[in-house]
Amino acid sequence: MRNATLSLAVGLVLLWAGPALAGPDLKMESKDIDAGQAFAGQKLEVEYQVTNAGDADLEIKKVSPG
Amino acid sequence: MVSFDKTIPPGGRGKITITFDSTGYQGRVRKSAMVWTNDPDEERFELILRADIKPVFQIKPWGRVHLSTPLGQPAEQTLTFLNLLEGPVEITGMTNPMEDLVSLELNTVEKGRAYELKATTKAEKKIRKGAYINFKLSGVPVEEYKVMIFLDVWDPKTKKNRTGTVKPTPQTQPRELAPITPGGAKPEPKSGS
Repeated sequence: MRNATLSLAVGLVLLWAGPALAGPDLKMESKDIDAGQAFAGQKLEVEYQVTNAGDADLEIKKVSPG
Repeated sequence: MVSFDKTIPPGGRGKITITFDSTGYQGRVRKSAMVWTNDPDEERFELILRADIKPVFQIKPWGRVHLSTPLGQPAEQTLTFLNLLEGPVEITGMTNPMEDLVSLELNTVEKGRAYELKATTKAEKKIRKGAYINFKLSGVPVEEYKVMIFLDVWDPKTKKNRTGTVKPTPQTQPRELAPITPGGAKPEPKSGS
């Protein structure tokens, strides 16, 4: 009886915690990068590193220059 | 211009790349891009790119070629490029985007320091067009140095004033004011009126 109660409690905790862990989780080192000095007419290429710390695919749907 | 990895698997890494063409910019620049994802905590956020843009040339009298002339009357403009950097910058080549409409002549005033660009219209029809002249440089990591050229060849018979038809201001006779008497009293009506 005691084991059954414990199992039920663990199960409930997992059910409660489960959805919070599911899904993509975007992590970025920086969202604001200073490319420093450049000459007028120069093309600057800046890379923003993205990590997915979640447990589902992270989808980047759209990137729109401002 | 932007490029990015559309899908990043769990535990994986990806990147978003922003390319910024600094043509026409000078000084501190802040550019941004908006990102949309399926992460509920980061559904929409902003990426920021900052840079300090140094001009290569001072272009006199202004930074672009602007030729505006009536049809049949050639126009000419000369721009002077002065190198603003400490080291020499050579203009090694040039692409004319309006070869059939404008002739461009580049002369070296002082190698690596000063150049002169002479632009002359040769258009034989009415046209309004803008484009970029691309210069090849050496001495700076600039692939293409662009300078705007704007051409406006207009028909003198049909061209209207930019503000539309201007009506002459109607001429009015100055109004004769009634004399004011001390105390503000009205003047006595003239006899016979």
